[in-house]
Amino acid sequence: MKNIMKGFGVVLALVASSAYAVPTLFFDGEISFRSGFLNVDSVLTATQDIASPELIGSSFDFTALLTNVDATSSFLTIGNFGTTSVTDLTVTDGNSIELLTGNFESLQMKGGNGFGIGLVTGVINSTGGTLENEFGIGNLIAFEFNLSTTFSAEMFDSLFTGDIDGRVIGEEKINVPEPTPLALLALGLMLVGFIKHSRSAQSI
Amino acid sequence: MKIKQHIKLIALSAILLIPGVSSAEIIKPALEFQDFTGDGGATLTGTTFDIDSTVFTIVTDGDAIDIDDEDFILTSTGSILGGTGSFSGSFIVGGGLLTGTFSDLTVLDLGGDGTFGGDVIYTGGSLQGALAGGRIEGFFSATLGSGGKVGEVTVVPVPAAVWLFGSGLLGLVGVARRKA
Repeated sequence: MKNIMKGFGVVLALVASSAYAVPTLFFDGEISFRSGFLNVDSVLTATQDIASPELIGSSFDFTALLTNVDATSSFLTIGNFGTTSVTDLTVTDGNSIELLTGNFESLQMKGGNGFGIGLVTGVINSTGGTLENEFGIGNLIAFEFNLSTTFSAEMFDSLFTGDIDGRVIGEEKINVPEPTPLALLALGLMLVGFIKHSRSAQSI
Repeated sequence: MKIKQHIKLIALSAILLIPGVSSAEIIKPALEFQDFTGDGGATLTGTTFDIDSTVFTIVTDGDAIDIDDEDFILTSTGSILGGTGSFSGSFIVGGGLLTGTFSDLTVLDLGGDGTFGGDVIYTGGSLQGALAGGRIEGFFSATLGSGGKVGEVTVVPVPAAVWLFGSGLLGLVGVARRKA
């Protein structure tokens, strides 16, 4: 009987665990830096845990303004960016529906000195679009490659271009409760059936 | 006699320098992988660099071709020192799409996150025949997962006209010097 109760407990713990949904927008396109402004012109390549938008003809564009360059390390260069005077991020689907707009709370671009590949990370405050509530304060992560320059303290002194590939992840994981009551009912019925079976076996 | 030598030099330069080669880079189309819910993402230790991600699209110029999601698994060993590491290992894309190996994957640890890149040799899969050589590049983050691209390596030819123009200038300089 103890074993049955233990098994019941383990099964219950497994069934009661929740699934998670992480709203995510994947993008791919081109990046350019000119006169202090970082511009990304890209398209949506996929989505996760949101109602699927029309990807063909979509756009995922953002811009940010360079605030300072951190070159204190001999190993890497960091460009820190801030918000612009207009909406920083605009995402629309192939039907011209505005999915998400927002402004950067922070945006950082960094890479190893001498390399033509770098990392872009940022935090976005959603301000509009049909997905505003699902993203809230989102995280952006991407890598830039095929850069026309290499990372150095002087890289932001002149124009450079390249490719970018990344995603924006929704603010927090959303609990999607499993139908725990149904699982409990099924386990309870199984237990009752087992007890009845045991008693009938004993009476024979 | 000297003019003939200059002409020979110009011709030789043009033959040797065309087509010129500048650098290797990811070109499109390329397989794109990113972490989806349930993927393990990237794990970097002092001696291993592994990725558990998902291939989900083929990126082409200006568009993305959606494909069935397939596992992307990369395993490698190596060492990292002062933020820069070199790793060798292999990767496999599920669905029989692609397998490959690499011997010098450069991993840059930029402080809990970073980038990686290296040349790969395709060893199997339905896409192998279309890709003779290869390259993989991407990013990783302890908190935000990983992603990247596997694509064909290309060499970017420097326009022949540039070399012709340059060698022609050299020839003119030679002629001018001879006259002087």
